[in-house]
Amino acid sequence: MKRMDRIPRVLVAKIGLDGHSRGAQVVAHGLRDAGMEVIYTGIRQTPAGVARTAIEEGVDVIGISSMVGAHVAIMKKLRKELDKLNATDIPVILGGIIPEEDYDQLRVLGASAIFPPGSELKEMIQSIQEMAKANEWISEVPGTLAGKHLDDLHLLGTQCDQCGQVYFPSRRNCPYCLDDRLIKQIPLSDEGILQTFVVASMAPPGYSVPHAQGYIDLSEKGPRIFSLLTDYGEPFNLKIGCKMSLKIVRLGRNRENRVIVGYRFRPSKLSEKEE
Amino acid sequence: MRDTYVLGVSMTRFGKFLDRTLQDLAYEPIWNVIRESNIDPHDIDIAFVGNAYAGMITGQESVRGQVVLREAGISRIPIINVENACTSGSTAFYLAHRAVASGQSELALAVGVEKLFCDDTGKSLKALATSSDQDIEGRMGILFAGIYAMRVRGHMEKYGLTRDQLAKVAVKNHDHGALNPHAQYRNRVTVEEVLGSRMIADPITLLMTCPLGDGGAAVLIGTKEMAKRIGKRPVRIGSTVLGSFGFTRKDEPSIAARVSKKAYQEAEVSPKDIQVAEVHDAVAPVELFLYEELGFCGPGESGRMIDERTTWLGGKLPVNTSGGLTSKGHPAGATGLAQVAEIVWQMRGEAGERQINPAPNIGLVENGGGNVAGETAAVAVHILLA
Repeated sequence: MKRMDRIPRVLVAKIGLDGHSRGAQVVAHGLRDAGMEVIYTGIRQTPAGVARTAIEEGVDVIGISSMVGAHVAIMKKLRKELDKLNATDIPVILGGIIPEEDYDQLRVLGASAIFPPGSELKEMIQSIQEMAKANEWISEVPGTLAGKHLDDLHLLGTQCDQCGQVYFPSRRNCPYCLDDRLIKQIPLSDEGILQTFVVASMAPPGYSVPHAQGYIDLSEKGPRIFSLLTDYGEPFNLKIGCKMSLKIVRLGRNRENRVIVGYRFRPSKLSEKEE
Repeated sequence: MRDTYVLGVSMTRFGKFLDRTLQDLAYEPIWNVIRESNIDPHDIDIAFVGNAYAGMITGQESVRGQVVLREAGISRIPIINVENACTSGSTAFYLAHRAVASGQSELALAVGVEKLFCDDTGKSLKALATSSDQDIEGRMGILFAGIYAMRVRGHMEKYGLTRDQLAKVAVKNHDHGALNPHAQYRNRVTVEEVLGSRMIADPITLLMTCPLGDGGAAVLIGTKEMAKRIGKRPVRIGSTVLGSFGFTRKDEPSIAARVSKKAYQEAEVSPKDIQVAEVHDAVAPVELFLYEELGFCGPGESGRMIDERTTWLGGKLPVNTSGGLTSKGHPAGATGLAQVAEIVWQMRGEAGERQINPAPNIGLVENGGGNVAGETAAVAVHILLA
């Protein structure tokens, strides 16, 4: 299994008067042994308490164990509490004695995965890791990058279908049409042409010198974007009109242990030679 | 809208004044302009106070105008605080003009004041860096000197501007500044010295950049009757136009071109009519694009303009006779009004050693500030007519 870039945090909880905690404890131990950080609430929790704990602990996934047939009621209430706290983006998985005929209803209510008796821990771990991957990274500049996971990121733009204009970073409306109805997020090309650049001998606080920045026109009908430049070797390798390629860089981690990623551009020719 | 007139102008010397407060820097020009304009200060019925960075430098984040005018003794009237980065002073001017033009006010005071020097240069630079979108450009690592350098480099590539031509703008502005008692730097420099000074962001060298500065400026705007009473040459505001960044597409004119076009239309003059101009040379070579964007010459012709000394004192269209931001200094909030002061002094024959002869009749001010979405955040253009 590939090493995780970020340790997933999982809340394992039991809601209501159901005291059958053995299953939840087995799962909690199993996830912990797989290298995850597990917060186990114990029995007799309220939906409101679980929702609040999930936010306070910043978990990636909430796991609910139910053994006595209250799963639909629990899921409904938990969903309502998460909604109140604007946290329905936290995936909820269910485990325990859950009849298959309830699956559809539970999925509609927001259950991301359901693990009936006999489920393998391995499956559960894999499923949680997939869910946590979306939280593995965070962009240095909001609205500039998108992708399924850390190793598959691209520049994110916005296109207005009314006028055809493409914007970067992505935005909520078209400032030409002053309309947001025909706006859509689109992936942008990872190659472009250097329009102008500078290798400055001073830099804003927190950046190293020399500080190279440029404007790049993406090769498709894309916008002109501002980017820091990297991997150019010597300044003479940068020329107006030269072809540039996107490079995603990892800049450290934030307090939630997410990898902070940024975008840079480098001369396409040089990068081929180096690799 | 009725005609408005600049009654009086004043500014402190620009420079490094660690012992002077914001209030102190504003007091001197406010009272100079009141005395010079031959009006009763009780008649001032609205004030606009431009300042960009005091919130970060001194901690006076709000009611800066009231604090500054408290010292000057001006109270009770509406006091509007104006912040528009380095265009704050011009924005105060724009608003004061509109207050009188619309008939809502009779006599409006515009003040611009800034203290950029404090005991911590890092703090000053940090404050200046807030003139862009902190969530977007701020996190992208944008550098203002770099933005200018990139534009200059693009222009060199496209039109063949030379490094000598870039340096000549700094030489010209230092030559002019040497004649201006209000200027922060009064030394002349040579092309060799400019090109040989420390490289900041290739091709921009240290002597092409404007310094940090402290200073204040004030302008009184009133009616035709008031202007006549002073006994000096009346200076009418032909137009004052303020514009903001656009999501400018490749084939569209930039902000300075857009704003100045509107200013020419409103003042009913053409770029050819301009006889003196103060423009925003935050780094000296930017002046060259501005010649083109303001229509003083065609695209790519600015290099020739500086070579032929057209914009030098004694040339056909002297630009930045005050020394410009490069030499006179750039206390952000005060800059726009100091630019207006220079044009008015030139028109009234009060510009001392740097006086244009004969005194010009039509002058232009261009003042810009900040950077948002790849363009200057705000640009003001004023056209003054005497």
